[in-house]
Amino acid sequence: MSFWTSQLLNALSFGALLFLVSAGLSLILGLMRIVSVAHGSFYMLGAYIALATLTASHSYPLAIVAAILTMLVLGALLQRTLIERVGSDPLRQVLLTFGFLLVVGDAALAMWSGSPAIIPVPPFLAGSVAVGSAHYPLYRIAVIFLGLGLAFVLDRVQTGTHLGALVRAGADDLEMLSCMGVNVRRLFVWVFAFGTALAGFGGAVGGVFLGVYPGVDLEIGFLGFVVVIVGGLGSIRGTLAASLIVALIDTLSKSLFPEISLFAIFLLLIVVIAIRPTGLFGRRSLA
Amino acid sequence: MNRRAPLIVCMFLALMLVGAWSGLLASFYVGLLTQALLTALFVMSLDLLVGYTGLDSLGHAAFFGFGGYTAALLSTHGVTNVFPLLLASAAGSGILGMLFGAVALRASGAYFLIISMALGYLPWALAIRWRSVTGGSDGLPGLMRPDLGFGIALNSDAAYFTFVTVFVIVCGIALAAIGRSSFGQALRGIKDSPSRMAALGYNVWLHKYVCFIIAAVFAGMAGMLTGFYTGLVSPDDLSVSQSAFGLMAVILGGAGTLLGPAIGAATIIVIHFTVGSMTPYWNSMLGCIYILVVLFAPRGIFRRFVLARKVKTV
Amino acid sequence: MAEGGECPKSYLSDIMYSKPNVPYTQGMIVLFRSAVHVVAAAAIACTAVGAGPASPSDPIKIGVILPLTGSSAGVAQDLLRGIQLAFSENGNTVSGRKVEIVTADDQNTPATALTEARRLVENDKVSLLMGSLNSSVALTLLPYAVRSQVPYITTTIAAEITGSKKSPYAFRSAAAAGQMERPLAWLLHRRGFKSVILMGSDYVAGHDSTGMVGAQFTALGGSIVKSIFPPQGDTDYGPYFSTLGDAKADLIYGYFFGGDTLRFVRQYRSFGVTQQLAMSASTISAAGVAQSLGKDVDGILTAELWSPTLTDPLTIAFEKSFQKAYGDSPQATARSGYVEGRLVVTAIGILKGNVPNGLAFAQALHDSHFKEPGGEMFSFDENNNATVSTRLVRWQFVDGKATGKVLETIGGVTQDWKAPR
Repeated sequence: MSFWTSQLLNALSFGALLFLVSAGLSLILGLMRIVSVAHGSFYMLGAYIALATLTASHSYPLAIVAAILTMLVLGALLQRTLIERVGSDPLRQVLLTFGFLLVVGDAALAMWSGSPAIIPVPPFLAGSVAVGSAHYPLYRIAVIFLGLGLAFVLDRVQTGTHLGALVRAGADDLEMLSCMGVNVRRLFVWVFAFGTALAGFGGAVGGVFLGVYPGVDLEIGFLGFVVVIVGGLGSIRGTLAASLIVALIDTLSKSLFPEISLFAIFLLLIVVIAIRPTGLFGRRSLA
Repeated sequence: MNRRAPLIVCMFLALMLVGAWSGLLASFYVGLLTQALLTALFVMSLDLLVGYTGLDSLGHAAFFGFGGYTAALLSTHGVTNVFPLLLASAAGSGILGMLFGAVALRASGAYFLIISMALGYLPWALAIRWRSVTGGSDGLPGLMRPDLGFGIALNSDAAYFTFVTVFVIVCGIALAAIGRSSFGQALRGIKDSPSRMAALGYNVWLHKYVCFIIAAVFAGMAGMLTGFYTGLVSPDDLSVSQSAFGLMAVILGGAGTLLGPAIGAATIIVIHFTVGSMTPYWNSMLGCIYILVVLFAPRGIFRRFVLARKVKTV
Repeated sequence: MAEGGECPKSYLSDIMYSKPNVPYTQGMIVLFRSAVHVVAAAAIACTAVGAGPASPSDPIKIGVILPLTGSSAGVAQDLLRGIQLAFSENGNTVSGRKVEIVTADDQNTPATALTEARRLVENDKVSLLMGSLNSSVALTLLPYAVRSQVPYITTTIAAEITGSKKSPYAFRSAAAAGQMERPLAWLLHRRGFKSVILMGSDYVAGHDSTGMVGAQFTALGGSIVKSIFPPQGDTDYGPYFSTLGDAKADLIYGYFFGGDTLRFVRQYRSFGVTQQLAMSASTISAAGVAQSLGKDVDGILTAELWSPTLTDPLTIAFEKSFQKAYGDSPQATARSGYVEGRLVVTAIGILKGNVPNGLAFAQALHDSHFKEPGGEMFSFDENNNATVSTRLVRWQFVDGKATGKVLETIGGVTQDWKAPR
């Protein structure tokens, strides 16, 4: 029984991390229909900045705040100066954000060298917890709670606040929203920045057990995409569900059928797009 | 399309051929041009999909690499003539195109982009996992160059370059002919407005499907020739970065012009291995190119700087 | 929407771009324009004409191809610094002849490496190729180097380089697969470990390394409990570790590279895995990995060619020299690069600064002997594989520094070393 318990915990913790990263992308893709492949870059930068801040100040809270704030600003800049100009053609958005990803990747390489790095575990979360006959890292359990907590908060915000209503309305019908007097442009910048800040936060958290290195931007970015497509655009619940599903498939395929572990995620994506492109909980489609 | 451009390109290539055979052109550049030409062919096949039919595919490298692997495996079983190998790679990637097209064409727009990327990942994952057949992430090295039959070997750089030049030109003409045919015109119509074409009685799905397969076939042959040029096929040939590069080159050059993307791709390759080698930050140079092109020449450099020169007719 | 621009103004551009009415003139002008374009292109292409052969007073050029960008960049830079130190210690001159190092980035991709190699050999006219950290890349460069009759020195472990694909032009200045693994397995078995779980990255080096350890273990009477090969770059080893809890083994042997190593060890610790962890050379000791791991590094056993904690005079001199040049203390990879560089320096010395062709250079390399940091005498066996010393090292994190303490040393290890009965 402990095999399944630990696999489940693995899936939950990885899923929680995926949720942190994908929640922002879900908003970006869902509300603004911006196909941004640069989302992973914000994860990576968040991790690097958290690590650098930690090394300099030995303070975990400061490191996390630094990661969130810098990614907030960078995201706002990216949206305001570049993405806005590109309009709604998904191909151009992909190319622009891909170019951004390349430039950021090299910048990170220049600033922090290519050596893989890993953020040290916070001392109060170190150690492991006995689960059945196995041990499970305390940190990953903390991540599970963090992810679920964030999901709850975001869901409350989206369904219970004015801002949330604006976002939901925009995801449904953007033109109408702008007709009603909402400054859509400013809303976009804020939502995009919020999304990238979440990714940065994900980087600070994930950097502890996944590490940060050149190439993580593409890997995490891709996973985020899978989650958002599978879950449906603009829906927090959908993103959470999809994060757990993707993590579960990834974890189980690795432990039970390592040969197909690479394929499993791709197949999931293909099946979802071929059969139900709007995802599990999405209402409007991307096209 | 500017009628003089193809002529200029052909004359340039003829000059390069003379340089290669006479030894005036350094062998490194002969090799580089060979690579550039084959990448150009790959990108032209993608242009048929993207520029003519409006199917933005991020998984095209799958066909490129699959053609390479098919031919490589066949050559390790004793097939040495280049024509059966070409045929094999065309058939292999054509069949893959039939399979993938059937699935991918269920989606459209941005979803097509994403599903094509996901499909493109599958051969890559297969190549990495199936070590016993594909050599895993190390690929299949040590490929010997095929011969032309009648005892003509293609081992020398100049000979291979000549074959590739002729082949790519022939394929380019073929692709242009397809583009100019009524089939090609129908594709353009589908890019503009699928619903209108459907209303006019065209079988839109079939047109897209056939186009997808044709593009796959040409990409596969390009992949096969590239594999035998470097002597290696590896999962990198199948990677999404390769697909993304192709897509970039199409946009950079000007979707729908065939020659634009070809020149765009060749130019990037040449820049990469000449100027780009001088700096470890080639990726950010490339990234800046993408950003600048998207912002300032969104319909492609070819359209912006070459076609724009055409005198306005009333 | 029409794409036309406005008519250009100058006379030349009139000829170039406008369309006169007379058919004959039209044709001539088309030809003229084409010729202009072609001549311009040719002029550019002429700069591509290769330079002539080097004269004896030109510097000897050495080409180094490494993954200078990407996740192996740190290790690659370390290796490069070691190589460069070997030359800069002598003012970049050997026997009165200047030596120049030309670097290229292979991005860990065989196809890119090959193109760069061609550029170095055919354009820059290097007399020697060194490099790659990746066995797949090395195996692609090898046939090219042999074909071009340029000596190629690498530190990668793939057995074929001095085995099935050996050549007078191919050299390995570090350990081959097995040279570290078999002695390590023997030493571990002697210390009481009897059953091993093998975990390695799913590529040629991962399979080679773990395979050799496993084979030696079973030959000594031990047993392999499990073999797991996660894909390269895998992010989450959790699922694998979770299945190890009930496995009856007292040792895990891991072969990973770069970022994978960090994650592997970190997750190994956080899952509270009880089996002793042993890893191969250049996994923990490369590019600051040990330091990044902090306390997680305590107790890990590795096999190393060398350790900074050694006290022989050459090690001390090397460390001083490195510190002076780079302000940093050297790690194992830097030392490997230094040995590689010293090898070339020695070979050029044998030839008294005159390198007539690749074969002579290769011969001189084969005959090179010099003392390396660690105290041993460097030499090649008949397959151009280096004879090394394998050291069993236990890692500790003390006073904020990760250090490796040498427990035992086996000298004179060749590629076909067998465990003593």
